[in-house]
Amino acid sequence: MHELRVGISSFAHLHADAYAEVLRRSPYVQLVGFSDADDRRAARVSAEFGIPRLSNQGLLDAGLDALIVCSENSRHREIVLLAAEAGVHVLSEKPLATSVTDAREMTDACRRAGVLLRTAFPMRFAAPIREAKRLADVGTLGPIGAVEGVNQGVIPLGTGGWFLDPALAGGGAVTDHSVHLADCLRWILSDEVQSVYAQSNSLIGTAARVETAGLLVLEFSKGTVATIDCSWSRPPGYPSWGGLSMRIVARDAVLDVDPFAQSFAEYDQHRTSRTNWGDTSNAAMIDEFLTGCRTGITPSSDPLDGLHAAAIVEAAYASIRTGSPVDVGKPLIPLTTPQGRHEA
Amino acid sequence: MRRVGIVGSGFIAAQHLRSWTTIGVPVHLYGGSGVAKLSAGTTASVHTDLASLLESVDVVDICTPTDTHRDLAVSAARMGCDVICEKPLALLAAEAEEIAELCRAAGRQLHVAHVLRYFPEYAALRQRVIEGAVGRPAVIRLARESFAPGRPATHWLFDRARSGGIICDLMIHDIDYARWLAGPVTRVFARTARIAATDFDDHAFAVLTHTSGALTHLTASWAFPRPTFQTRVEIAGSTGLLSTTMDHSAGLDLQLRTPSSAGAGAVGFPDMDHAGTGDDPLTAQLRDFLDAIEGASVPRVTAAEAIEAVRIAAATHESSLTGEAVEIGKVQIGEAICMS
Repeated sequence: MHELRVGISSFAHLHADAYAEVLRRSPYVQLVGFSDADDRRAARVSAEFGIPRLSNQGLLDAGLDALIVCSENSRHREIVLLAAEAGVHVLSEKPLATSVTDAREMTDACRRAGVLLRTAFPMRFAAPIREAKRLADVGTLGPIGAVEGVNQGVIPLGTGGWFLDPALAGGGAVTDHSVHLADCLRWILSDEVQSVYAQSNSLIGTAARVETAGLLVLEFSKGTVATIDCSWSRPPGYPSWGGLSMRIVARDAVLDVDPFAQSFAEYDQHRTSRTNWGDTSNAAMIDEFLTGCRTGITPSSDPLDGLHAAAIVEAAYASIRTGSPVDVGKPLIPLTTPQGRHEA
Repeated sequence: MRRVGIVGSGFIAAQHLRSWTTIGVPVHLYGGSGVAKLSAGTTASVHTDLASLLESVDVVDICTPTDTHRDLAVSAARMGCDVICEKPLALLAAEAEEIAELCRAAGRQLHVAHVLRYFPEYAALRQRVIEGAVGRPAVIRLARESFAPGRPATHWLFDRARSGGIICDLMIHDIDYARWLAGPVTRVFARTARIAATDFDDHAFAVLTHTSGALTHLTASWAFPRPTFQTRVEIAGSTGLLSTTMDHSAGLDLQLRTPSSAGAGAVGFPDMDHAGTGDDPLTAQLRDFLDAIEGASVPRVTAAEAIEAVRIAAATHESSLTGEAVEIGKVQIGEAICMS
């Protein structure tokens, strides 16, 4: 089995370091190089990972099997289209794009080029979430009536603060933190969102140009109602970056799911923090993606997941603007099969 | 000393009777087939008709189904009694306003039992907000999760037209609290679901948008397995965060090896929940109302605020029926919609 040649486009996203670490440790992967528009960040990455810095095109020209895209959100489109043209499989950080138009264009381009396109939703690889899906699939829970979802964080000020720049991020808390839960819910419920009601504000954080708090109400086509709190509502002193959890209320059971429960408390001279000792979801996600690059098969995800998530986010912003629930609208591409298999 | 007449003989009436007995006022009872059983072992005087009760008391404490509140309050006020009434005051803001106006015109006080404000942890959390602990409230999360009260499906509580359903009966506690924390509400959106029950919606989500821009997420549920009763509060603001789950606030967690006579799983000690903090919340509340009636104090919850709670609850209920968001102004909401 030949080594997979993988590149990383930009370390703008906080997760790029974690991905680079996973790739570096794998004997089946050669981490070929990276690109980054920021010189200081690039210098740090070069020093830390000992990999060459190239331009995006240079990276693709070096001959890659796969590219992991961790640039600012609005820059995903350009890089993914280049990768498709170069015949390189793509794993893109979420959100796939900052508009449904872009997400659709990227999805179509990769499909026509015959390359994989996946969006980084690591929660599908977290054990408690996978078990929740299994329980839902085998019928233990009965029909799921309601899900209360929370994916709260601290205002992301790192990496130059691009998360708060509407031109680079596309939006604030709604863009950043609604998609993980929206994706998990689609997966666990094996269903699609019919309509979205959302409200937001910018009361947290000084003079933010994007929304820093959001509440969504999703209505699924089979009747489940789910809420998502995507707010950056943890203050800087919070013991962790935030969290993601769900309370599933079903006919035969109530199920609490917390993929970040594997942690312990640490107290030093000044503050409390929580240290996570579990969480192998990033590694499992990359592993499935790389296997997919070889075999064309990814059991836990498909090419449309990023597009569906983008459609939910776009409907949320429309609802915020109008103050009314908004129909998500059917994507032009058919739904996935239950196993999540799909032609790349 | 004021004499208090409780109208009603159900679950809440029994709790009120216990509190009035603790406070030590003369208590009279009227209403329902359960009155005799309720009065057993107490010194409460039982009346067989409303007029006789109203003649014998100074304060009427209405503990009956919501759709009977108006007529009872009006009769009481006209007979010269001050009125205490269980929440919700009414199902519609216009009716709540009418009750308040009729009491005012009769020169009587009206107090509405939004008891959550008297729970020490809820009051203390709000006090911290007032003291600036979170800055400006931005996102509030309130949840009240339990099992359906063990009543037959024909009980008035499960008849939306009589009780206003889970939103007007259960969620209203947290609707009032959200308003107490973050001020007036300008828009609401709600969904209900029928999850464990077959004859009524037993779960509700709501999103409130406050005039200040703050948002409140509300959960109310009767769909949890016995003996769950959990409430949650999270108040996130511009500079800080308050968070608590009230499930084990007793400070004791005893797991008996053999089930108690109350049934398997019934090992909680709810009486301990507020141990050491003085009166239980209901007694504290009724004492507060009595102080207002006997003196000039202003209670922790006013009739005007109770009317606003009804206004928001009715709009929330309407949203859950129509599927639309509802804007709230000082406008009467269509009676036909809310009574369906």
